[in-house]
Amino acid sequence: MKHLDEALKPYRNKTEYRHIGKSVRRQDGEAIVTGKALYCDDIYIPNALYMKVLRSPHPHAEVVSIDTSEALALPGVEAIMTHENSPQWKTGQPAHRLPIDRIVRYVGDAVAAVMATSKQIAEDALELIKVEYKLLPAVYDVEDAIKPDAYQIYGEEYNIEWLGYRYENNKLPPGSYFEHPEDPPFYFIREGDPEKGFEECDAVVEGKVSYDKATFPGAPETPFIAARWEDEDHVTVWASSQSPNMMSRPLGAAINAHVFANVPNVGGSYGNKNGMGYISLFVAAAAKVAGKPVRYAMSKEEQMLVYERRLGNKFIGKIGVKKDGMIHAIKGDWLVDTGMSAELTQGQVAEGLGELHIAFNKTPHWDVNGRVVVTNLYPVGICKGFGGQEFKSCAMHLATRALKKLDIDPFESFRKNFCSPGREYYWRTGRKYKNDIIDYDNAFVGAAEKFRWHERWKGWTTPSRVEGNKSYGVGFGVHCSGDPSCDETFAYVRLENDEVIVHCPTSESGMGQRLAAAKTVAEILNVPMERVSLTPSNNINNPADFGLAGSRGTITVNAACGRAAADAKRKLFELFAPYFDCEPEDLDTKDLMVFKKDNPEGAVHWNTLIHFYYSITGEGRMDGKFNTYSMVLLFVEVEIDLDTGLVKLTDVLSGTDVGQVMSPVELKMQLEGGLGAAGIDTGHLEGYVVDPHLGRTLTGNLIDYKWRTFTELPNFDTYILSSKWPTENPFGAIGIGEITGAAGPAAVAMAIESALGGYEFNEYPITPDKVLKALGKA
Amino acid sequence: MSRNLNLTINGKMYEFTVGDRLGQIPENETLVDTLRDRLGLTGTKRSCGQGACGCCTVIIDGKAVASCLTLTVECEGKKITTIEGLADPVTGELDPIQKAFNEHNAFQCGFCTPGIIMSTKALLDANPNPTEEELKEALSGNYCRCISHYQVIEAVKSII
Repeated sequence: MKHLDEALKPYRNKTEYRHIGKSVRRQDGEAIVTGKALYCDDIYIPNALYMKVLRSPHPHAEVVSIDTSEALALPGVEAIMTHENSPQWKTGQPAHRLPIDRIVRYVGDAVAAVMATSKQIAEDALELIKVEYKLLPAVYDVEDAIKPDAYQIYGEEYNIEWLGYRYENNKLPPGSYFEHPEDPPFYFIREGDPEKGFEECDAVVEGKVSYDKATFPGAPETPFIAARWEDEDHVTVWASSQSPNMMSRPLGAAINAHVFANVPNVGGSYGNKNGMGYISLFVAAAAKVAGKPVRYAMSKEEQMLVYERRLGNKFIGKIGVKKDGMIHAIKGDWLVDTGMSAELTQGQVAEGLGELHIAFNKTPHWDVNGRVVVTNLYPVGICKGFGGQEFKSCAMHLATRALKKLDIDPFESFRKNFCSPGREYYWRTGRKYKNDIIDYDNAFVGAAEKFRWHERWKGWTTPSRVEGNKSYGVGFGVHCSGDPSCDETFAYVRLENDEVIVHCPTSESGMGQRLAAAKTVAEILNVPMERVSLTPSNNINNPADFGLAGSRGTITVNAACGRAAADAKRKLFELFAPYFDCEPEDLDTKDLMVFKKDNPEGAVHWNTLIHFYYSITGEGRMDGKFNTYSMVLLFVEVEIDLDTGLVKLTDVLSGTDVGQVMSPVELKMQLEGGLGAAGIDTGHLEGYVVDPHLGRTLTGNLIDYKWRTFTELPNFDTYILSSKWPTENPFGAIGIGEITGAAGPAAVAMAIESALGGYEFNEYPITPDKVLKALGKA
Repeated sequence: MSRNLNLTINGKMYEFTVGDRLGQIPENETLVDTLRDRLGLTGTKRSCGQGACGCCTVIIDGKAVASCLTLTVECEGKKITTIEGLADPVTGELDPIQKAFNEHNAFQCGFCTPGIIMSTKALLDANPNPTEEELKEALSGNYCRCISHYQVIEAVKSII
């Protein structure tokens, strides 16, 4: 790829581009505003059966008997899958979850799936299935679940093992496929001597902070999977997945078949509809049992009650700070509630540890251990923030207690502790990586100035201002991710006649990454945007790529597509060199015309030699790395009604440095998106209410689960620097979408505490009842 | 005994019969299902099913309505407009609201966009010059989890 990078060099140093950095219409824009854009459930699949699922009313039980005969006799019912006839495939990390098990492990676990010719018939049939349960003890809290006498949610017969570690005391084995095969699992950071470190500190705090209320990522389009077996070895899948390969590769391995994954427009994901591990396994199994294609669009209630939620967690630990604001020692247990199953929770532990290590990068003494704990709550999946949001909402919040003791400005402390150029940090493999160049300090300074932090922050126990019965406080948080250059990516660019076709499996779930890929290719080939199209997002027309996760698309997809475009351009010039009787490097191209650099007037159209049935294919790839990390700063102001305890977010500033801006409108919306997807608002607003005795989620619908509407928007400002980072993105960009909300909960908690004169909260979300208690009014 | 049901959707007349036999519209069928599953008008999105999110918004006799809470049999003789019916039926020219959303990239995943556009259309038809507060109030029944709200407000303000 070196020769291609040489060809791309001139693009890195430009300050003005034809397409990059410009506000350009999305290719699917007209389809979206006219309703023509196709999402999974809009697609007709001939002969497909509709599926409805009978779900457990109990948090933990054994299915003693199940009688489906009456349901099967209902006209229109074609098949029913139960634990008795379900394929014995397993998903999860490590594999532990069957499509349907004899044991149900949470309220909502699948007991039977009915496949019928209409949705209504399938639903009617559910009521005809007779099930006898034997109830088992249930546990909902991570601390209870790991007690030695706790009931084991998975028995010995499941043989759950990974790299020599076994399931024990409801703790899943650590590690995932993120580590190098020869390395141990990455689930702790131990460095220096914490005990000695604490002795050297000026303030040491101990405590427990919980960010353990289940929260709903909330894609508007509910999860959808359809599966059609073509033969014993091949299955075609339609998925509302953010990443066709992240869905199809693990699925194919689990069911021992080749998966052809199709991903049309995706109605929101926020990372949450990436892997879709269990639901894809479930529908593939149902289609196998039925012997016909099966389509399954979850209802909103199912999405909210049984699909993958954000992980819950507690940090029980000790943090020491020196009087110059340096975090000096940290020790503790990070207990992660993964519900009844884990798809990639251990990977979230690995990244969460790495994210804290980038934030507390100058801390010499560490002993922090992450544990993934199984409970009888509904399962955890992937969601933007990916472990770091949850962990840092606890660990960084605990650290503020020590800063408060020494009356240190949290902004200045977090700024000093943040990883700077030349320093190493842990990332998800458990190895250390080095940041050579990226320096975010200018963004810290500029964003704080724009928010007027130093003027508005009045200290830990003084509100920013009080007006009548309203008290205002400000808070700050910082978040980072080491994923923006991760994992291998491949792309092809074809030049045919008068068009450019880009092959990469990038989907469109809202971030505008298909637009960015088209821009990159159009920029390098110097053609109008309308000449560039992308193949549909699937894994059969396109080469491999992990998918859109960790903000990696901006660097990796555009690096691969950029190199493929440069390769195609090289081949174009090689084709035309004999025609012009010159060397390929003497040629240039613009608007599909080729010409000698010293004679633009002699230009000829590409199709002079790229005839109707001729094709030039350029190839590009990028090898994954962990040497770049993204960063987002969040400054917030909250208003507290001292009579009602109502907390309102009034002012937000999101600051970052993205290198070269690819698409300004999409960038702005990604920053604003921090308010959504169970991000900033999990600080004070969002969270399910779960019955502590029955394990039932009581707010599993969009009326009872409160979130933000058009009438409740805070003032939202941004501070965006474009420092031209030397990333592998051809123009020097870095992605940030993954983390735009992640620093929010801790920033909101800080603001609320400050507005209340220094009252300390240890549980999220800080809802009005908790505020009234703090005010002595409840 | 089945009875007839006449619907006017996007200016076209449709004649159905009501009943439980194959091909008939049952009494409990919601409008969103009729539009999507019988007529292929999939621009109207099915999401929360409880009238909370606004993804299924259509205009019935000038008012923005959640089609997931509307029984099809109640729409006899009513004039229904969906996102597919906003463009000029003769020239195909997009409604100014659609143009403004497209020109401002006022969407991310786009799933809630048809509903937001229909709510905006009902508002602007009744009140061509709303204040920002009136606009926000009119859209308060439309959830957007990607948070495109700010860009939507910019788009609508560009045409009022």
